[in-house]
Amino acid sequence: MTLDSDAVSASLHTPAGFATIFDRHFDAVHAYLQRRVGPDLADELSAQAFLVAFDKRGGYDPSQPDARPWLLGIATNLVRRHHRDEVRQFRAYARSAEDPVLDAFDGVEARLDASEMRRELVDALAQVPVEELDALLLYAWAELSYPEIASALDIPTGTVRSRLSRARGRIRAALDDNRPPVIGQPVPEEGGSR
Amino acid sequence: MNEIDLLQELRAGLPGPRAESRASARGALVARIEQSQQPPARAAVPIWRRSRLRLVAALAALAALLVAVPTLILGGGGEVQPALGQVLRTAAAVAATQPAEPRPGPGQYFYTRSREAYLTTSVEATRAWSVLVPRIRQTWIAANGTGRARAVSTKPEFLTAGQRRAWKAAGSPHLGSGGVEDFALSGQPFLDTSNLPTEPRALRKLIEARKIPRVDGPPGEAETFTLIGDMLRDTYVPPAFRAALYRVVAELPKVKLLGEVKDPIDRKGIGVAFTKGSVTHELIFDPKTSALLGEREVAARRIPDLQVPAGTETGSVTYLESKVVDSLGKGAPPGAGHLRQSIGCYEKPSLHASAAVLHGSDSIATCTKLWREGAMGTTLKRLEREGKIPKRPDKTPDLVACEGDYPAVTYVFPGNGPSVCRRLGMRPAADEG
Repeated sequence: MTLDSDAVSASLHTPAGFATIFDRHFDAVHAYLQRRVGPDLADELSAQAFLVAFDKRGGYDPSQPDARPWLLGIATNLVRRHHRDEVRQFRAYARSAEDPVLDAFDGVEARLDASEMRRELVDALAQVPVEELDALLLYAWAELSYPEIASALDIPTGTVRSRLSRARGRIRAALDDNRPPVIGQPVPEEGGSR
Repeated sequence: MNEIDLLQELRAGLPGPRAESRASARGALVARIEQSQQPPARAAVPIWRRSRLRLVAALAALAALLVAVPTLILGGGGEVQPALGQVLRTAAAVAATQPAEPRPGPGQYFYTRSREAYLTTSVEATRAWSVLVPRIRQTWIAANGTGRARAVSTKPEFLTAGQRRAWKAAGSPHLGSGGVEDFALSGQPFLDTSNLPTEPRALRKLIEARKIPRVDGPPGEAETFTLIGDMLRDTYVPPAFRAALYRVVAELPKVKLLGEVKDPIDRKGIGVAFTKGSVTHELIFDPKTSALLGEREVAARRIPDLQVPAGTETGSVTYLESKVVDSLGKGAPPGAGHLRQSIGCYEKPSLHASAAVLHGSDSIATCTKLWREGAMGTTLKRLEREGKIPKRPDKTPDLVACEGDYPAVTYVFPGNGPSVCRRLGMRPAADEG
């Protein structure tokens, strides 16, 4: 199997080869977007992400063998234009315990989520600044490593570390405000493995 | 349980994309890929040609049929005035005497700013809409062709209010306005005009014979018109040579002289137009300096099935500013301004054969690897499979590296020895010949 980087380079002169990149990564890009903004907008944005990727393939860094972080970075830029909708959905979820993203699925029972902690979590997410949220969700949902997030968002790894650290701090603070501290619970280490 | 674990449980286990969503997205990508296909020699001329492709830009949200029409209006009715040829020749003669603008030196860039707008027409079931997405385009290009481009899209403009309603009724799909887009450019050096004639007949002969390095393409007058446009856009050309091109284009047999016309921002210029198929392409020159002021594409006739009437302007470019600058400016993308060494691995000893292009410097080794991995020679493999040619024991042929018109590209062909390069009008590569 060829590396993504070779497939992208080769597609500069034989563009049809770029479809390989789509076949390898569409589902991952869609899954990430769907988790952020729901299935309908994810359909639109993931399609758009691959058009943008195709147009910008000349700028692909050939030292990156895996195209997934690059594609997720493009998807993140697209979803950022919808950040206000994303926040609105988080707020609605926190208020009503019904997640608009889950509601959007036909046939998926809209689950009433009784967990107070989860509602506090989404309420906190609604308040995380978008740059930090991007880093946090690429880490937690797309399961990218720090260097991969750095490459996806085109920022230094140190910046990824500080954004994630701030985002996690905000969420911890929001959760801790509403419950007594648990003695003996380990504090997660910044940058450590999951 | 820490906050990352909590977060990972949130919206976990959602179903994957619907098959029709995936198919629709793939369809849009394949449409975009097909629109981008051009012969290998074309790929290094990205600026205007890539822009023209936006005429048929696919809209991501639609799996529907996507088409666009280029069109024509001749400013002022298209009547050719008598003695216009003489007017043009006089103007060109004046232009030729303009003082030479300084050519960008080492570390400098030729900066241009232009406004472009292309019509995109989308058809979905019974609805159709056409929208112009204007962009301000800036380019910074060094003498060796490296540099950057930035395009900033502005508010899309619908042709009619009815078409805007059709678009709304279709759920307001994305219109292709991408905000700020930055590209690194590499590869199209300034034309070396020092050895080229400024006498129009001699120059026209050279262009028509496709004898000028990098000014190459299929035969035909339409292509000649296009190549002349390519020599003038977003690049440094000395005024005397520009004036000569202007005379050549005005004297091509099928070119229509439009006389005085206005460019897209109402500056007066002299227009020439060439119609090919349903599209008329206009170039508008400043008669005093022979500088290209603007360009227009207009549909000569209505295309069935599309709600774009004949006479609609489907694309325009207005050249607003050009000057020599000392830096690439703010926000240059990584790699901008650096020549990236490219290798073209060709399947056959011909520049028209399909090729894989990679970045790198060890050309023979790189292409050998591609051949060994089976990424090359796919046509031969198919012929083998179909029994049309005998099976070949060794699938990696002898390879030869050549140098051509682009200093940053090494061309690698199957074949034996430097004669392969010479036969293609190239030189054996210095380090690997």
